[in-house]
Amino acid sequence: VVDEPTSDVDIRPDRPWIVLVWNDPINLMSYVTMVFQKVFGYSLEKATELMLDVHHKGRAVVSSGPREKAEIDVFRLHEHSLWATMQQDG
Amino acid sequence: MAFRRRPPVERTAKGVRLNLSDEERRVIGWMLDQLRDALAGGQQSESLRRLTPPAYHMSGDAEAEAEYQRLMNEELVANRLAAINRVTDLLATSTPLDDDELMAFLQSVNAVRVVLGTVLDVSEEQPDDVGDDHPMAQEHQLYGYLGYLLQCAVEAVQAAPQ
Repeated sequence: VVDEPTSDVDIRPDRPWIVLVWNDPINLMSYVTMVFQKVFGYSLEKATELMLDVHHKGRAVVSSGPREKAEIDVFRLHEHSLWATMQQDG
Repeated sequence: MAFRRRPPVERTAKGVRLNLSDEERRVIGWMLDQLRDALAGGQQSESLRRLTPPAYHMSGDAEAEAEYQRLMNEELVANRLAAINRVTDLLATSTPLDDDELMAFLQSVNAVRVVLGTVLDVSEEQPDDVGDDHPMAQEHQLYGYLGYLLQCAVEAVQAAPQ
């Protein structure tokens, strides 16, 4: 007999991780845009769109992928003093 | 107030120039020294913790967060100290900056501004000019100056030839 799972926490390892950047009142909008371009190689248009999402919606998903990649992305954003976190998608 | 003829950070054909007066170099260097000493001394404060924010904060995974801090925090501080030292050396010369040095300048000046802004508890609703009678008027002026410096440095990055 196999017990039915009792937890509603989804621990599937294949769920991707997402990296979020949160709005803060200190970092300049132009600086945040530049960091997105430098760290992720995004175009000016995409980086600006993400920066505006952060500014207006309070946060934006800036990258996703395996956990190890997400940790590196968060680290690089922290190097630039952006407020970044990671979590599993879904 | 002296009229500034050129932006404080400017991309030229020979590289990125810091058009800073001796007084500006001294003040920026002093702020970087303060941050270097605080980081190297392992000081713990809310404003310094802003430079090493939690990675797993929203996921609530305390174990993963502790592991991230154990693995990454030391490297984060070491990289920041290396960048500060590099900028301190640059402030003592008039040599044009290459792109890596410009990025070290941006990261270091922004780190000082983030710590100062956290101490001042700035908000988006707050006016840029708090007035001379504010008890922390000088700190707010420094915060505003660092914002201007950063904006010019970002423009120097964006002006790089593609």
